[in-house]
Amino acid sequence: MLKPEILGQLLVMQSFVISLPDEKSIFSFVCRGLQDMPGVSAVRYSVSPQDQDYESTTVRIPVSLGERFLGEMLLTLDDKELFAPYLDYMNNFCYMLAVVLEERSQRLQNDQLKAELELRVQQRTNQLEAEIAERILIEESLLESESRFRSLLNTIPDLIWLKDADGVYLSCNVIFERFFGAKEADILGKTDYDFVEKELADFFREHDRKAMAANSPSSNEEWITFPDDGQRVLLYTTKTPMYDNNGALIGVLGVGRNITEIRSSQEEKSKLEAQLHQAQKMESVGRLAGGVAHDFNNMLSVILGHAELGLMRLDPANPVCADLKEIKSAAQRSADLTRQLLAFARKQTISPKVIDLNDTVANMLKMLQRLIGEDIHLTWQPSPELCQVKIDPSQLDQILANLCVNARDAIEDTGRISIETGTCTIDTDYSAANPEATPGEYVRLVVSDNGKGMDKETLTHIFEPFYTTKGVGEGTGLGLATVYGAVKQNNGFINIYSEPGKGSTFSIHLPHYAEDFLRKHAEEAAQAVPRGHETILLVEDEPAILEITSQLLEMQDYTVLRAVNPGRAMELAREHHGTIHLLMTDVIMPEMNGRDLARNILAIHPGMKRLFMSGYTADIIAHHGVLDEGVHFIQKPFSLPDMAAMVRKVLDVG
Amino acid sequence: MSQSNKSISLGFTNEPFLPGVHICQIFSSDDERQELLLKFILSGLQSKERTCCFSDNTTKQAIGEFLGNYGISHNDAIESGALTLAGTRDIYFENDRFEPERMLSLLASYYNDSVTEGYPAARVIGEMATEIQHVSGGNRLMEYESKVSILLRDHPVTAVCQYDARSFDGAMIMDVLKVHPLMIVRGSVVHNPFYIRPEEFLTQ
Repeated sequence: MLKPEILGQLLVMQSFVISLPDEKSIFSFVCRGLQDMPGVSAVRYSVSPQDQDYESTTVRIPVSLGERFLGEMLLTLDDKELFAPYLDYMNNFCYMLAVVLEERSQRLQNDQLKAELELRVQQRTNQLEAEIAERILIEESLLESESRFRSLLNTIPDLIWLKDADGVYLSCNVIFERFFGAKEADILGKTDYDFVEKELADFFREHDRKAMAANSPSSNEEWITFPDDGQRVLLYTTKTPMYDNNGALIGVLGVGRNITEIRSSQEEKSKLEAQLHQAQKMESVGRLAGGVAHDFNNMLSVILGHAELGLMRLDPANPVCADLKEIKSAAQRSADLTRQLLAFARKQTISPKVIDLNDTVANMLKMLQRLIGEDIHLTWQPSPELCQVKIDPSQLDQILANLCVNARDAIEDTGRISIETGTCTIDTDYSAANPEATPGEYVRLVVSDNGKGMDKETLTHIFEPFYTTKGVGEGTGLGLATVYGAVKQNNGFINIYSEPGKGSTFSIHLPHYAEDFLRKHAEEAAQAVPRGHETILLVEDEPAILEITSQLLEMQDYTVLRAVNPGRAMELAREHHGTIHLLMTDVIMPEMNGRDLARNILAIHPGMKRLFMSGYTADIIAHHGVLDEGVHFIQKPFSLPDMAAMVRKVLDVG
Repeated sequence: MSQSNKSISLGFTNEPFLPGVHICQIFSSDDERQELLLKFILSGLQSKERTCCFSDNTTKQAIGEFLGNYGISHNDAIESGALTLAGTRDIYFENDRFEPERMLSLLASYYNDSVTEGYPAARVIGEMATEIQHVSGGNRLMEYESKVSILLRDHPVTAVCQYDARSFDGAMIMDVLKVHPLMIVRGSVVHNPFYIRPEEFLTQ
């Protein structure tokens, strides 16, 4: 007799076994559920097909799908009849159980395979993600490196480019873009022939090939013009063959450096060095000339003095007088030469005065016209501005006369010489480029001619003493040297503009003297050779000069105390009881210089006047060649009238 | 309170039941467990029944969010006493012991208080913790469940007991079935063919 609740239990168990997690739990659940089946005293299950551990009353119900054995339910019966109606249900239940177990097994297997697959997918995904991350890092690193490289290329102020072996552009920087007036994207893949004229492209290509053939860098200089602003620059271009890691030729790497400024600086430096060299040479020559002039002056003084003394003592009808006159004339010309040498050497003693160039030049025009002759037209263009300078007027005479004579000689037949004045300001930039010019305000005296002009070689020598382009006997070679010395002595400088066939222009720049000055010049009345009766202490270490100078002074009725050296002079000063009105002394002497001697004797004879003589320099008594107020100087050699006038002047000064 | 004469909704099935039914749910997924729990609580509060939930796996926040979707404030419900939320371990294993008498007393008091406070009915849902198999007194679980069925005859609290098929042994699951007159099979509440009346069960 079937009990419906038992069938219900079997159905419920069927429903629940699906929810249970594993076989153990399922069989545990089923065994407990079957315990209460009619006729069943015990229930167990076995998964072993060889399980023989059961009693005779045990019913074995397989849990299997065809040949597939999954286990068996072992039901021990205490009442077979009661159980018998349920046997078929139990068989069905166990089959169902087998289906559930197999399905579960399959599901678990699938789950396991799925889990393994998912794990492998996950592992591969992780691996790929790691590879991608690494690749991203590499790409970022490459991008950064590329960016850094690009930045480096574009920061360098040189033109940089890379061409393949056929001259096709592979890369370039922004400076190079500027050269072609195109962006890199438009340059790549093209050649020089797409951007510049064939002749220039051929030139570039030739150097490319040269570098590749030589397998070493090839350099050349070339001028290029940037099309955007027309800037023209000198490039020092180096082309280097490039190879890949396998040693195969890639092409040519080009680097073009703008050396325009460097070259300009080099040329400027060379120019300055040449100027310095010239200045040093002039200084050396000046020093040499000054030294020669000193000794030469001493000798001329003796020659002149004796010639004049002889002329005074002889009857003018005496034929020897003519000889003496020739000797005197030659000596005076020689003295003029030494004076010019000293002027060049900036050793001539000067007495600067403030003058207006416009007035001074205007007063010289007649003399200058006579100097240059009638065939040459002289024009004068004074500046409307006041052109005051402080200079010894005689130096200005030297400058203008020499410049005009040179201009005259540069003009073959007829021509034109112009003189003009003006003012200008020299700034620091100009000064930097022209070291001889110091910044400041200047008065400019310009002498121009339309003569034959000079070449560069001549221009580098024209201020050197005894350098002349004139024929033998036509020039001394001291004219422009004198001008140079005079200008330099007055802190000025000279600019020359000249080219062969285009005339010459000499611009003399003298410091502008801004102080007001009295325009009236003290006119010194011309006087006859003055005489006197005062006592003069004459000191000269050159006996011949001492002798002749003494005789000249005595001829003018002065009382002369002769001393051949400072020691003797001191003795005479101490021994002489009367007044010594004037000390007339050489400047450079072995024992003591003239200045110290004067100071010592002045202690014995206060109020004594001093007149210094020198054939060389006034530095000992003058500062930079400029005499202090109250100090008097006479340049050797001197003529009798000059000396007499100077002596009288000094004695008469209050 | 006339609970015994008026059918109620369990929330997770359309079939009406009289208060005081004792149902077990053998679940094998958390979603299955939580869905039933939330629907049971919601229907209880919607019916103004006093509702109680013992669970360690459904948070107060999850319950609050679910009820909120239906316009019910769980905080208000808790404050008013209509809803009681507690952890299974806190309630069942006081002093690390499981005492069926204490639990039965609590259940009786819960019902009596509900009556006193005027609730139309009272319900409780509890998820049994696996520790029951290890705590002192845990071996009396089936005795307790069986006595609950007796208690509910006089104190008709609608009770749903949740057991996790993944955590309990199959034999124990079968024992659980034997002490619950109703069980949930594939979402439907059915009479349990394994059920053994308490008087018989307790004598075995």
